[in-house]
Amino acid sequence: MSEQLSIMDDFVAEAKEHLDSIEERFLELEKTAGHPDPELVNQVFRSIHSIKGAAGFLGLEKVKELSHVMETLLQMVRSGEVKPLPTVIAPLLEGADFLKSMVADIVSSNSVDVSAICTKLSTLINKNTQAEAELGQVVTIHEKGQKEEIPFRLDEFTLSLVPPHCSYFYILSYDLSSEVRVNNVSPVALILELMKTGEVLDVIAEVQVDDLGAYLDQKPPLTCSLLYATMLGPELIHVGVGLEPEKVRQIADPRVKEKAPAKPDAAPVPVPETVPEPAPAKREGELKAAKSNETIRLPVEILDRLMTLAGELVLVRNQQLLNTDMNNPVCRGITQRLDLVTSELQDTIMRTRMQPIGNLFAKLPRICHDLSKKLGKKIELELSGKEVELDKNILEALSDPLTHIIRNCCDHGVEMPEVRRKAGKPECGRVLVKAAHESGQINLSISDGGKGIDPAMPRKKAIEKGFKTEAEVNAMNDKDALGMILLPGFSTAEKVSDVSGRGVGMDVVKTSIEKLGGTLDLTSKAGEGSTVKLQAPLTLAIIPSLIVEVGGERFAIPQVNLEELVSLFNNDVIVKIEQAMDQEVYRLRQELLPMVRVKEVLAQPDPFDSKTRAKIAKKYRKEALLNKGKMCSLSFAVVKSGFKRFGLIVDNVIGMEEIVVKPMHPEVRNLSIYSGVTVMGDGMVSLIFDIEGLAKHSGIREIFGAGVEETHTAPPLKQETQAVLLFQYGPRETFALPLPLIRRIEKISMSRVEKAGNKEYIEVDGISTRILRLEEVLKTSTAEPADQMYLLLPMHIKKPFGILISHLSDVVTVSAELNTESHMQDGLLGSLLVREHMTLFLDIFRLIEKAEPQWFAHKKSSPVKPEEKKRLLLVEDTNFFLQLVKGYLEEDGYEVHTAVNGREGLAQLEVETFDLVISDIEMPEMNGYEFLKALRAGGHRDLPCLALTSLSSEADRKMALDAGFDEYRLKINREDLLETVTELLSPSFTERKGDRP
Amino acid sequence: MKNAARTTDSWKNMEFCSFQMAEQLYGVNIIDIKEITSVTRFTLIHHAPSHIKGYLNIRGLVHLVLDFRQMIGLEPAEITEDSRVILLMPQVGPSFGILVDRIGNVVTVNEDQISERRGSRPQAESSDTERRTHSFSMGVYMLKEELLVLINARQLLRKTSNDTTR
Repeated sequence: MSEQLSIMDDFVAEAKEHLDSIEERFLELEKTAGHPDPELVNQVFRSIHSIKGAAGFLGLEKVKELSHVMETLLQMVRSGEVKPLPTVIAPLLEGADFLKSMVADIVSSNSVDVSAICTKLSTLINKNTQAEAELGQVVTIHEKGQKEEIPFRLDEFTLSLVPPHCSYFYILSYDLSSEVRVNNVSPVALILELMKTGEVLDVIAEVQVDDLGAYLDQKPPLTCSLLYATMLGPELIHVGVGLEPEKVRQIADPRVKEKAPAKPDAAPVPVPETVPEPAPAKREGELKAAKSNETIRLPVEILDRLMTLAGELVLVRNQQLLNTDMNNPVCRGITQRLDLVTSELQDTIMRTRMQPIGNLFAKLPRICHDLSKKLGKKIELELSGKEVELDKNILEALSDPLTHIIRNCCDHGVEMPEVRRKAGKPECGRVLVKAAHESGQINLSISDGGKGIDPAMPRKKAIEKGFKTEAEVNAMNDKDALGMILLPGFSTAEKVSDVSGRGVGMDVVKTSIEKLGGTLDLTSKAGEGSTVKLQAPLTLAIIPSLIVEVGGERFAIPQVNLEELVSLFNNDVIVKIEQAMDQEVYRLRQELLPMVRVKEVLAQPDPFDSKTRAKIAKKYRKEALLNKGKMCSLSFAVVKSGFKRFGLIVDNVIGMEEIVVKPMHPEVRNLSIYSGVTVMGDGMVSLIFDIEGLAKHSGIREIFGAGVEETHTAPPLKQETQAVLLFQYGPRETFALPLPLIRRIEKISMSRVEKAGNKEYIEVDGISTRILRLEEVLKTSTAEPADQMYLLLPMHIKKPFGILISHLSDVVTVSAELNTESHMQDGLLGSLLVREHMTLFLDIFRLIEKAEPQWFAHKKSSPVKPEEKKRLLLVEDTNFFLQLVKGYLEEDGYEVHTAVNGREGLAQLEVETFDLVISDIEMPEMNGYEFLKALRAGGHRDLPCLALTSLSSEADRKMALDAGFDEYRLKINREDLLETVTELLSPSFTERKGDRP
Repeated sequence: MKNAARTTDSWKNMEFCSFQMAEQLYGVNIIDIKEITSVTRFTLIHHAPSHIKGYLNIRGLVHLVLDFRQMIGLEPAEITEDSRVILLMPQVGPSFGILVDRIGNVVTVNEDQISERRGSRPQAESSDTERRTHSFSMGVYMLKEELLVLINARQLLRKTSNDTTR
């Protein structure tokens, strides 16, 4: 059933399109009757011609009959025999009207009586041509080299339409059911294909049009013979029409035949209308009945208005419900009925907008078919979920994206048949399109089972195109790498083909889906195919939304943008909202979430710049500190739009509600932060936020591809930030040093520098201080000579020592996770992309050590044998410190094992033995105090333990020692750390400890 | 443009609804008026120009309300019991209305007695108001005791659009 409809729909849509354009053109022709525009005539002629062709194919006898007569007349207009005078145009228009009404009710079109109009048109033809008798004459046709006549109907007129270069005539036998089932070619598509290379002169199909669909669904072959004139020679014809040789029979050119004395009177009386058994009155009645069943087109505005009124009716009903005396049976009855009718009315009006997605699917087989031919691939399209209904607007908006995706699948996804065979797949690729309802949304998935996308390819491309650096790309996981395909300007096609690479990339598809409030997701497995998952709301008119309150006003946040809600209480409000550069942020699990205060956005009509953001952050910081210790709470909604994700801080969260969306008034449509308005239950108007607009207004940047903030080490570590000083020495590099490592920075005049050997010294605070030029120890550019320079004096270094700096750039807060792979040198901790500049993080201790090795004389000089190495357990949650401390310890000849929290540390202790434990205090899951208590209780009473922390107060120190730590040291003091470790591991310490009670 | 011309033509004897703003009477052609409402609870539209008062829901249809005071350059005033919103017909512009201080009577105006705005010099107004009003007024009409400034409602939105395209 569904198949029949789709084929018929195909024809009907096609024919309607032609007929709609014809009317206008007829009228145009009439105006210029004296000298009709030949192109215009041609267009009209071709329209009617293709209707005729397809109608014959589908067994639509009456449509074919009428269009044939119209075509004949138009041919005469075309040849100039007839002028398109009103007397000619009028019946043609009438004919077009007839066709229209027949097309509108196609199933019963064969029972329409067209004889009257045909006669009318024929009279015109007769009047204007003497050759009519000849033209109507039946031409007999023979298989080449045989005398037997073939039962096709062919008259001189039809023959005269065959262009001279179409000199080959064939009878083609098609099995329609297999065409549809196997090749997914609808009859209409087939005939259009044939008409590209020739003319279909007549069709014999042993089917009734109204059960064509039923036949097509059945397995048994449904043959159909065509008389076909073409320019394709016998050697080409099979390929051209896609049939095996035995299904094609060549016949003699009837035009050539005619010259020979044939049998002109063999069939002297042409009986074109053999079928009709006229019963005009009845037919007319049926036609009218059919007409009344027609659909009507309405402006959506009217439906919207109906919706609005229904909404109002709901309000009235609610009031009525409240005011009804439920004890009065009459009143109660009426109210209940009102209630019922209102609900049903609202429901029905909603339904007027809904259409099955099958309407959208109908055009896909054709696209797929054409493409597979063009590309030389074998592709089968499988559609499921045609009955899923969705709003007309959404349906229309999905059309282009879906087409684009299907094209992509055919072009890039499905491989060539031979490639597929080699890969052990069936030659015929299958593109699967599935539609389904899910929680008030429509889910579309399109999978191609093709070659898939190797995540290496988008990575490579991203570097080539300069979107990302190598380091960033390598830090990405495969899913994110694939996701880059959806970025603007990113087309993965190796060659731009005319099929899918037309400058419109997947980003356009993604954007248009997101405009609808939907999402698009791409997954792919190399060798197994790609799947595009597309999610869109069922309707734009009613959307579920979160209602929030800001400054006493209510606003709606569309649910599609909403990820979660977070509430903070009391001290958390102050502690958890942090500041990263100018932006307030919240650390949500692994991610730094920028925070937007809706109240501030509303108060500030101009888009935020850095200054504004900093001001806001400062204001709330102050406020929070003032409120310290008081009861307070803060709610925010985590929202996303495209690749942006951020928190919206609101005063109050009211709840979820289904809202009816109305557009913004044209006067205020330029305000980017709203997407529309809605009327709330109490009659007040509320504005709906445009999340993308809010993000833009408040300057939230895309977080996508922030690969540098990701870490390779599993399990994922807490995202730490650190404040660093950015500075320059040579002109090419930017360096960074964590602020806690800097004692101070001294402005120096280079003229005061003294040289001793090849080393430079300057007096700072009365002490002669060694100046380190970075090029001494690092591969780096040299500073240009200048008199004024800076000397950076590091913390925790006992010897007088400073690093020479030419320019101080800034102090910024950045991720503590450094990239330790690219740009690595001995003397660096790692690198990080800061403000789009590769920034090198100095390992200050290592630099000093490289410059003045003799200062570190205590360092073990002889390499330690592996079996003698002391085994240390380092427990630290921050990757930065973990790597830093681990590096120091390993350099000093220790074997270092690591754990990221106390719980993991305990687990390690169960299976391994260690000589020393070094632990951080502040850690997730199990902190240092708990860890140590558990450790001491669990049989490691004597194991030396060192607390390593950034908490430096005496109270902290006491707490650590109480918990069972033997020593307490600050994290970043390298020398001190190494000395302490040596001390804790020395036999004297162990003895001393053993002596303790 | 066509519409404006037609309005002018059919003016012979038209009725104007008058309203008062700070001592001055204004009038809007009653054929342009859909309804006058006393509902004055608006939904503020942040980021919109100040003369846009907000949104108003009238039986399910959302209207944009302009503050006529600010449009003619007066200071915004408190909404009082007399405040009204004049909602205009759809053909005047997409659902909108103007907030006025107080509604007056319906005045019959004879076209011949309308003096062109340009030529007249009403004293009651500041020059700022004069300048602002000019873009949407069609002329003045002499009542027995005072002047009636006739407003072309169709120009109201046009005027604000120009303002908002800063």
